[in-house]
Amino acid sequence: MRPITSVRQFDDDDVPIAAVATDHEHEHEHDHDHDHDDDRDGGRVRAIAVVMAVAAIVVLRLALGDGYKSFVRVGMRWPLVASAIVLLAIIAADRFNSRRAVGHQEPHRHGLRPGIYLLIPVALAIAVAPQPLGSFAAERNNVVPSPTSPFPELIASAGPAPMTLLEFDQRAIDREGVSFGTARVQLTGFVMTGGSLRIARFRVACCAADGQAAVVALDGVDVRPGADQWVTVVGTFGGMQGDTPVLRVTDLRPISQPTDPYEPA
Amino acid sequence: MSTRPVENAAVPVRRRLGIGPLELVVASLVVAAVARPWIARELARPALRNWTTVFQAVFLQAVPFLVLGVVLSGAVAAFVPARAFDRLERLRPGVAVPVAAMSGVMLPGCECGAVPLAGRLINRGLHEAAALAFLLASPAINPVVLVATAVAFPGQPAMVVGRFAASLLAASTVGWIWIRLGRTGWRPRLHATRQVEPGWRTFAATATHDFAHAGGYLVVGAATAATLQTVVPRSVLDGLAANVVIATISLAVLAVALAICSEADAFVAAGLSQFPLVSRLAFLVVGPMVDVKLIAMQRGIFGNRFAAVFAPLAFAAAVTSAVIVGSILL
Repeated sequence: MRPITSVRQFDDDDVPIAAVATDHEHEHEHDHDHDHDDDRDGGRVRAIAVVMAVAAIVVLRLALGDGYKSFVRVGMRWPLVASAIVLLAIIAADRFNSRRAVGHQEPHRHGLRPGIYLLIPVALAIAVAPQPLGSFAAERNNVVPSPTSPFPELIASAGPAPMTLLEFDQRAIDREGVSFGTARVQLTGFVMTGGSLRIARFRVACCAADGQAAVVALDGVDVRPGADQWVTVVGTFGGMQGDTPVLRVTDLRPISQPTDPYEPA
Repeated sequence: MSTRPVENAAVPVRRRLGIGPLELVVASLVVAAVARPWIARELARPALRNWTTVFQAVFLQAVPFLVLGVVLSGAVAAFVPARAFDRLERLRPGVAVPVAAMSGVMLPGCECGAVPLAGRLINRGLHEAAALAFLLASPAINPVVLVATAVAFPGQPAMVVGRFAASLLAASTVGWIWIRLGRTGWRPRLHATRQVEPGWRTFAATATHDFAHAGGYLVVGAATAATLQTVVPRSVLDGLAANVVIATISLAVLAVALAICSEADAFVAAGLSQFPLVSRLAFLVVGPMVDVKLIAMQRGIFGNRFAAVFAPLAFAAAVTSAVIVGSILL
């Protein structure tokens, strides 16, 4: 057998191996503590196992409902479900094993302690309904990449063409918006705060942390919906207002938040 | 140890009332549920709402990859024989390092899963420098991440090749320096674990343990990233894009602060179109190796002193490699 360099399970005390190998006094003191506090440590291990299990259940609930769509791409549903189930199974198996383990044959388990931080996302998920990125973030992160190829012209006679805000903005950049012609388009986004009336919608590549918004200014609207109110608007391309493309609105309807609040990146 | 007398004093009171850690956990969850209306009102403030969304998003996105990581680390602890890496060990360490970095191609996923896995590989006798090279390379060079990079930079295959080459170079460089550090005695010692009996019991115990550890520190990292994203607007970057040196350093620091998953960072880099390509390559090479979330997780798995040396070293190697490879390819 290869000589074993360490004889200790992970420990929360920040003690490197070398210190452990020489510091017998510390090791002894530690074991001494452990004998006395068996009851308390067992309680802590159980508590953290419960926190981890509840975290897995929270993930499962978000993934089986629509909640996860506020945070990650829709394709993440099944990986989230699978990982939550695997996590629950592992925790249950470990609990089952350690109940059957006799006395001190069980490895030390102090290292579970950081798991208590999982209480934060768990408590947040219990306390607040999932909310997608909103006007606060849209004001900060709103870069639209230049289109890679020219857009085909829209057909004016057809009904309003549903379009992502990203496509609207890219068509506006592409040859100064000639591809719009006189066609009517339909956009869905949330209302931004301050200044002239603008709507925005995020596209997310992976999770909300990488979200980038596309912004469209609305022209010809008398009403002023509150910030973060979702609306569907129909209209025609109306040039640029500074750097922001404009939609000349013929119809505006407040709607409830779409089940997928993001556009694909 | 200095807190122990206080703890001891507190224990009898809690014991008398029959309150243990489990009761405290349950109580805090009940409080969260009961205080729902009040918490919802407070978190409706735009900045707090944004923090909550980004925090939960980073956490949720990482969970599947973290579970994959701890399942693999449990499997390594439980089923990989202690002498499994002898063949790699017979190579000179200087050769083993790039071989281990290359094998990062095999772990599809992002950086969260690689941290606990690297810890277990060291525990199974893989040379420390080789395991760390694997830890640094795998989140950047696996096929999922490279395909995402190609999609984000259409018509610019040099970004994909550059990311692959610069990440391998940086990971190997850190590995080689780590070997050197060992000779000078400057290398911090890692935490290590008890050698355990192989089998399913060890598998479950290891996976649970590693999830508690890495998951707990993931929470710390996600909170840091959410705070930075909420407090620092990305528009401060606009003034930094003109000068290529300042731009590269700024984007490297941004990669550390944002802690975006390596499968998504290419899309963010593509959006930073005001910056030169070399700077954006640095963003893509640094992000999977060093960020606030990874530093928190590495502190948890390997210890504070490790993270204090490793993170700056990896940062310097990543920026340097990106600049070298970028100036040749881009």
